[in-house]
Amino acid sequence: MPELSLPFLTVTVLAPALGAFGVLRTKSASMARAIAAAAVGCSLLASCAALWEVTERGGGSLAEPWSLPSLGSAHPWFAADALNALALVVFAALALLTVLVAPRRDIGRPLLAQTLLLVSATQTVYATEHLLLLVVAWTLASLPLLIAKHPAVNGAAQSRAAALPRIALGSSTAALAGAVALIVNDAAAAGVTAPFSLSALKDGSSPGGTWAFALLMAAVLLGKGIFPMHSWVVSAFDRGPLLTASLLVNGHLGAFLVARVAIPVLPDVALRALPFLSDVALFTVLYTAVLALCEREPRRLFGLLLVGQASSILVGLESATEPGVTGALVHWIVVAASTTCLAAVYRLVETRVGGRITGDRFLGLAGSFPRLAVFFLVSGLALIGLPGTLGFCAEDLLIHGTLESHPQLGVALPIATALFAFHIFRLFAILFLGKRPSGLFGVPDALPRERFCLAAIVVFLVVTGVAPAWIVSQRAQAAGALVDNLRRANVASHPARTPQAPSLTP
Amino acid sequence: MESLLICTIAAPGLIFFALGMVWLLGWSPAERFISRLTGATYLFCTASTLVLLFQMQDRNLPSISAPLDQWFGAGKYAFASSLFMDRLSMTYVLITVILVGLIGAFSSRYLHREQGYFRFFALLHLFALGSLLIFASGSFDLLVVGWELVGITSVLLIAFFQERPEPVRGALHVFGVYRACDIGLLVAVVVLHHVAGSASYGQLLKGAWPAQTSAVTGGAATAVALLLIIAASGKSAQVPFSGWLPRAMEGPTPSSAVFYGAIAVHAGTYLLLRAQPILAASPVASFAVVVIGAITAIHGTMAGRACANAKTSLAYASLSQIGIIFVEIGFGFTWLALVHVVGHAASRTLQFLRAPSMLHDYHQMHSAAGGNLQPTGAHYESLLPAGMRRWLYRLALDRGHHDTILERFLLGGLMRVAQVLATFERLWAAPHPEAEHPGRSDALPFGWSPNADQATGAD
Repeated sequence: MPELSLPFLTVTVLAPALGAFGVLRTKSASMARAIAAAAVGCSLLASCAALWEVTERGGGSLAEPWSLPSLGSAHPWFAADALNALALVVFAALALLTVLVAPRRDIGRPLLAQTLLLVSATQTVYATEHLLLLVVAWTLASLPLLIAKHPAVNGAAQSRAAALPRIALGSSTAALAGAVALIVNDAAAAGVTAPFSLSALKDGSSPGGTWAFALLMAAVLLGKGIFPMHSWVVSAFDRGPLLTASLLVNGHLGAFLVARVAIPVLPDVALRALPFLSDVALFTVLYTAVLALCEREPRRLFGLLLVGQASSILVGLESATEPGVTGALVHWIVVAASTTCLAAVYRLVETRVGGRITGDRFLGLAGSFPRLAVFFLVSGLALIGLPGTLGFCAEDLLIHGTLESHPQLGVALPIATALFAFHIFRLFAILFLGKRPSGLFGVPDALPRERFCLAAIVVFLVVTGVAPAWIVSQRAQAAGALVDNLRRANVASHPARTPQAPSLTP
Repeated sequence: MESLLICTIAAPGLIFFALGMVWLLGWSPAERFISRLTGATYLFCTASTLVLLFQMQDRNLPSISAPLDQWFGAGKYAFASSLFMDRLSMTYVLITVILVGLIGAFSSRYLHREQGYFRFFALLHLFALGSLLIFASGSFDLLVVGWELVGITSVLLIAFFQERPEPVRGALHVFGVYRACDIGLLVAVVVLHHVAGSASYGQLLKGAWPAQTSAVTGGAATAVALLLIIAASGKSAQVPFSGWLPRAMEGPTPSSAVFYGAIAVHAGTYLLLRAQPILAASPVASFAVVVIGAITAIHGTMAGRACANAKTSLAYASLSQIGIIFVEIGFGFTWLALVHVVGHAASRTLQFLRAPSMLHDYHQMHSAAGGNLQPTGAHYESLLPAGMRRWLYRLALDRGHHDTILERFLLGGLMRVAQVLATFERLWAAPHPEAEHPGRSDALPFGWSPNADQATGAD
């Protein structure tokens, strides 16, 4: 495998982890923010360099220029390709903006260190080619929510709700560990020389494993909050640290697991199981869109929006069509950028108002915070496909791909998108429209630090929406590789079909 | 010519983007600067459109097109993005740039020192961009872009006076109806891609407007046409989606004039005129357009007579005329429909702009007539039996019961499903203790509840 010119991926992964260590050692809150920003900034620069090199060299897989002896140089620990290089950059950028824009009360040193650990772990999941490291990083990425302190609870239902994120994330980790154990065991039995290496498993014949695939999918469904496991995300948004929860969910590690492990390593099983999984994800999108009609709490509504949008990524990914998969990969970026902006604005508003916001009336905050209102509206509308933003391209590709693979059920996606659009506007109306409250005179609108960070996200969404060619072609390259995997498996199981045959029905 | 066409369409978008960015970064432009910039922009757009018109006439060209680079695509799918102007587009583009410019000039005084002055003009530019994209797109793909931009600007201008709850609820209602109807357009475009391999006018519609033929025929033509009719009916407030129109009157008068008197409400007629060859290929769809238009025309006439305020009455008058335009399109009288659109847009805009001074005008006429202004004469409804008149009056007063029917049977059903799901959710994932609102889960979302005042608690 060709190599990167410098160990960019190691810097990408290690800088936030070292930053977490530095944050814990310092005593000043402002210094902690500066250290965190510098660490994530280093990670961003290194990931940008990796993306640049991957793009310059045609989008193929590039290994880190060093390797631990256990795998040998043929099977590196870290590698960058068309699928993960852009994801590394986007996640690092969003983490940096989150660190910079977070209100002071959200960047206590322990929480900031946990957030940096989450960033490091998520970047490791993206970059690693080693299955064991993948499991460890997946576990560490869940840590901030596993150990988060929740408000005091009364009653069984309340304690169950508070425990949901822990149960879901813990089970997801266990399922992933089980799947990896089965894959490695099958690969070792099949004589694969480096059974922990994803590149070795992708190169060799797929070791089969319906159970391994089932466990992988359990990890995805639990980790991503697909029906009926969606409630943990809502609960985490309702009770947990909002920005950290948003960052965790916006890693979209479940979708990444499907694209990085499930389809390339187990294409035969994936070919048979994807239509079913796609239906489940589509149902989740519709379910959350309908359920949100009864939801008035902004935090819970926000959680349902994120679950629905994250599920639509899976719908596209599992449509097994090039427009659908490309749309899903673009939508991944849109969801991550938009919801990070939405969460940041919501949290800034919450801290300015002075406590938890309940959705029982129109708050009328646009009069006091007009710029925050605009940031919220633009990023929210980008999420549901406002033309002129990247969200429109993602939605267009996603709907085309989904309707191509599911001509009847696929109609649910535009219907759910319409409902989500209504919910976004409703959330905007609850927060920003209505009579201006009298007690907020003198409370500032977006501060320059916040304004520039949020403007960066909005400009990104708009500029890539007006000129989406590069980003879409970059994602189309990764999508092409995934669809090719499935086509090859289809041809192998049905030799009469040509590789160009669009139908993936077994 | 191609560059001029691109500049004409892009100019309002560039102004919107520039104004938006400088404001977000902290600069608030003065009123005079905004109004002069707006005037200059639409003066340029009008002049350039006239130049394009004269060049088309001079060279005897049926149309001009400006192919843009492929915007995006994946695999075999490509988003067809090109600008296109023929006689139909030219008419609508010319109306748009002239009326938006006039509305800009009118609003610079009408909204002087209004808190949302900047917001109004920024949204006016975005609306102009959306409208121009609808009318000058070379494909249904690009038309969707403009269609949605017009929708969102319309909604944001309805909520312009955001401190009152009614405009906010009205905006939510309109947004819900728009998005629901837009599904028709989105799915129609996907179907066109699957059936014809493209949604570009060049490949779908052969010949020069109005003597075009459709490349899509049979069942596919009926499916596409019916989906487009849903989208057009939503945007043009045709029955059964007309309930949003009176709610849209909560916005400032200049925006009501340009949106619901002139341009936005006629976007549906443009869509049907553009897709007329597809409609003509499907007798079912043509019949549906005629029926929808006729029912809307009758409904608009009746409901308009029972309205208590001038703007809503004008909105229903507008609805009746657009219903008649739908009928004309359904019968294939495309030229007649186009002339009707131009005349209606111009006269209705004037009426909307004069609406705030209607009482003043009436008093002037009253004085001029020596204080003896006579009623206009007999009404035909007096020929009906008294019982039927009462029944028709109630029907007109409740605007054909459209909202009640939609809320009870469509939205009500959806809400019942949502309530069952919410009950199930709360069994095992109770909300945060501070988020408990007992007895409220059965209320409809904001904007839909008939008792929304209680739900919001605002004012």
